[in-house]
Amino acid sequence: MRYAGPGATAQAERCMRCGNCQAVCPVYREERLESGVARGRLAAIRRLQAGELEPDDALYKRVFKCTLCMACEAHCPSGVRTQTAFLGAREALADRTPLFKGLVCRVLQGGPGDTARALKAARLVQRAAFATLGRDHLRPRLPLGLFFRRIIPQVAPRPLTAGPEVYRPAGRPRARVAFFTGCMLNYVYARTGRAVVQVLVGLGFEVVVPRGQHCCGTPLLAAGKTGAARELARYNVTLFSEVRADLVVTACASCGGALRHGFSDLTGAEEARALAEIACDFAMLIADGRLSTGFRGAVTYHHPCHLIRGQGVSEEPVALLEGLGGAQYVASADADSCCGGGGTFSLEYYGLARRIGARKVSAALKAGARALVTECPACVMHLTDCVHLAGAPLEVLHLADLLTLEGESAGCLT
Amino acid sequence: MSNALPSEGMDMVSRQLLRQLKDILGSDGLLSDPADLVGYAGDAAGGLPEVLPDVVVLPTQTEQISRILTLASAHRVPVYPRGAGTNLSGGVVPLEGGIVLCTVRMDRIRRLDPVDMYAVVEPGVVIEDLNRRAGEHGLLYPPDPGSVATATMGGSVAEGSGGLRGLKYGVTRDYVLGLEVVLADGRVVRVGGRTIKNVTGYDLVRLFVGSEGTLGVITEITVRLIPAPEASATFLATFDDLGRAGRAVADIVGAGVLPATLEIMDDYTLACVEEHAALGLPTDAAALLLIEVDGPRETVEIEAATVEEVCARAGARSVQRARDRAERDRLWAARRAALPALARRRPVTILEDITVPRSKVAEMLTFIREIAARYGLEIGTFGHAGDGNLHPTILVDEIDDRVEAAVRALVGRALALGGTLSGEHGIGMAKAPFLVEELGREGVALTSTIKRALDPLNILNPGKFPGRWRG
Ligand SMILES: Cc1cc2nc3c(=O)[nH]c(=O)nc-3n(C[C@H](O)[C@H](O)[C@H](O)COP(=O)(O)OP(=O)(O)OC[C@H]3O[C@@H](n4cnc5c(N)ncnc54)[C@H](O)[C@@H]3O)c2cc1C
Repeated sequence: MRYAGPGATAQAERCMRCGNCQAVCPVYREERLESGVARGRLAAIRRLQAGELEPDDALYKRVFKCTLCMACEAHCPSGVRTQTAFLGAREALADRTPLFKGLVCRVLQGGPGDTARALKAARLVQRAAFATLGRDHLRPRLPLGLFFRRIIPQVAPRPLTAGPEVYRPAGRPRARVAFFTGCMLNYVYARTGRAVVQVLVGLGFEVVVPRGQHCCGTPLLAAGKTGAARELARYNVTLFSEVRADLVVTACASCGGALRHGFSDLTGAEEARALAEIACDFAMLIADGRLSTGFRGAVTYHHPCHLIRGQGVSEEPVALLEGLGGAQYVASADADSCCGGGGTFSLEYYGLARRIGARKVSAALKAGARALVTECPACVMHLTDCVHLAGAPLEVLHLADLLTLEGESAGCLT
Repeated sequence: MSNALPSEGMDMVSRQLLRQLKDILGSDGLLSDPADLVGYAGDAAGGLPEVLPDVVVLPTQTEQISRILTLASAHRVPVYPRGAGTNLSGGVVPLEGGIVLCTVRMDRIRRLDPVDMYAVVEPGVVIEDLNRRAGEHGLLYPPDPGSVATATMGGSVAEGSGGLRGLKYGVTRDYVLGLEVVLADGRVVRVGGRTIKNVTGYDLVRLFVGSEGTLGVITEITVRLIPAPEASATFLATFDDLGRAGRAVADIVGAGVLPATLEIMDDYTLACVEEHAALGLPTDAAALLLIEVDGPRETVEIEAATVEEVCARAGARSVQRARDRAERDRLWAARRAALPALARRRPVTILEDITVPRSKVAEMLTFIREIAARYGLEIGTFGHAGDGNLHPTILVDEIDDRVEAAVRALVGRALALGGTLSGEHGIGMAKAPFLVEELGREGVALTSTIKRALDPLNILNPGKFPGRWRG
């Protein structure tokens, strides 16, 4: 019998059951089930710990049916650290991981070389089974059933880390910045990764893209594979500590969260704390730069959960868009609610993820936006799919893409 | 927070019944896996036992509910109506096992008539969602429990909920015009109507308002809406003395101002709320009043001046007016979080709901302090002071004799002062042992007569008020 562990249980016991989490939970909004909201999930965790509930597949499904968006934690008047509780429960249930998700975890757990090789193979599969759609995305050749109608990003022909390791600005650099790309910006949206570099270099930063950097471990942590996530944390901490940069920048909300908190929580290492001190989100870093875009039209912003709640960054990206030359910023309702992507959540609960995402798409359209901008490649991936399935006249762009667009919008899906 | 040992489901539901229920609801509308059931064993009331139901049903139509109750009657299986499960009296604990009937998926606003100013809603509509829609027409549905963002219309009608606007606008029961109810045997009745005036027959609407799921399942609600006030002004007044804050409450109303909201928080509550909301509230004050006046713009300014003056005269340390809507919303959100914020301190929260005439608020506040000292208990008090409704909240690691003695003393004093033991949270399990003290034997007997007439098999929310639960 596996238990949720003392940390998780202590948090679950702090819940006074007011149910306030119902008001902010994206999963509850769709399903209205207690098992799909923090209060009910915490009740299950208490029962699991007390040995009154089996750690079976049924419990697995309910514990993992959560995007880990942290809205409940941010909203909880009793101060329950729900993420701690949920991750503890996930650890207890990790041996129930379904096959395909286990495979993803295995790929990430191996060294960077393994991941690169696996993704190269994935690219071949993609080429056989999918047709290209726009610049970076693919459409299945055989759209059977909802899940298989899904739009997915193309694995990049060359990862970002296969390019130069150092990019220098024209004059004397303002600072030396190490870019923690994360898997998505390295292997999949490498073009966006290059856009990040381009913007930073344009603003006078020297950018280092350390070779050998690897997954931040967030997907593993979310899958309950805490030990594996800890190893990745140690690996990355050592690697980045040796770069001797003034700052470490992230343009993926989840990687940013890992650098700012995750690595030091997992390793307790002094170097991890030092890295957290110099970790900086992309939008924060460029907030005072003079920026413009080639995009013409209204843009709105989606706050990635791991940025607004995970790192407390909310005003800078919006201020940046408001002050941007070229496009006009429009506010959309519930801009801080989860898009439903949630990493592997959207693989396991695709229908639910799409319903959650559809709300974001209609909120953006209602605001009159032509582009939905965000700062997390995982959100970009999920929202692109939702937009496409809704047939909405909306582009989903990473902030870095927006800032490097020239003339008419090249990334347009047609 | 585990206060009592949970007991398991009672095996009330046979395989046959389960199959019949599945026929009615489909597999998506029925939960029977333990991993689901654990979420329906209790509600927001602290210090009560939890019980697992045998099955949870999530109907979407009145007709399904009617068939469920017909079946339940035939099988003599208890049915526990449930909304969002945020009530504070143990009202939805499936005490004797059986079927939890959760109405959250009946969440359509069927009609909103801006001319006749009423709305027809399904029971699962969240109060705030109704108000958002009403707001689009310049209208307001005033009942406003602290849980507006989660509580359902069905739950709040069945509980007879109050809230933060009770003083000026009244409570839920003052807005319900008509209901559709499924009775225990499955019959569907409509009571009341949609007009303000209606004296045709007994006032059956009020019978079901506050019936706590013991007389029928509410499946449709018609409520009155009013024009939203044009303007409002919100104040935060701090005091160095709790009694003085209590007297200011009476003084404000005495000066001819009826604020929409007149809330009180003591220092203990204040500290917890500040820990959660980090608004920069003055945590060194002994008490705080949150006051809002609303109405036509000119009137609001006149009343605002009176409020400031009266507070100053009553010895307020400071009186601050919210600068804008955002600041006002933050103050309100903080006030609404008072109860769960208090729960930060201790694992068990025993929340009282005593209500006294306004002139006795100061006296009651002082008495609460005495009780806390006498029994060596931590008690944080907040409440809707304007209507005399106070929520002294006892915070403990576990329930012991001191808690019971303190509760008894608080209830006794409230009744002695001409008040009631529950202003808005209902009886449920938590207050059932005290029912007779307020209603008397005859009152309880009459209540039981009504219950038997409507639910002769005692299958609707059994064990609660007016049932046998004795704590
Ligand atoms: C943080 C917090 C603040 C609160 N503030 C206030 C406040 O200021 N004022 C106040 O009055 N209350 C307050 N409450 C209590 C609670 O929110 C209210 O009682 C609320 O109206 C209950 O709604 P619900 O949908 O959660 O009902 P539930 O808790 O699900 O049910 C309440 C009762 O109604 C019955 N019931 C539910 N639906 C139906 C139906 N369709 N037909 C028949 N019976 C039904 C149930 O059997 C139960 O007896 C607060 C609660 C919390 C957690």
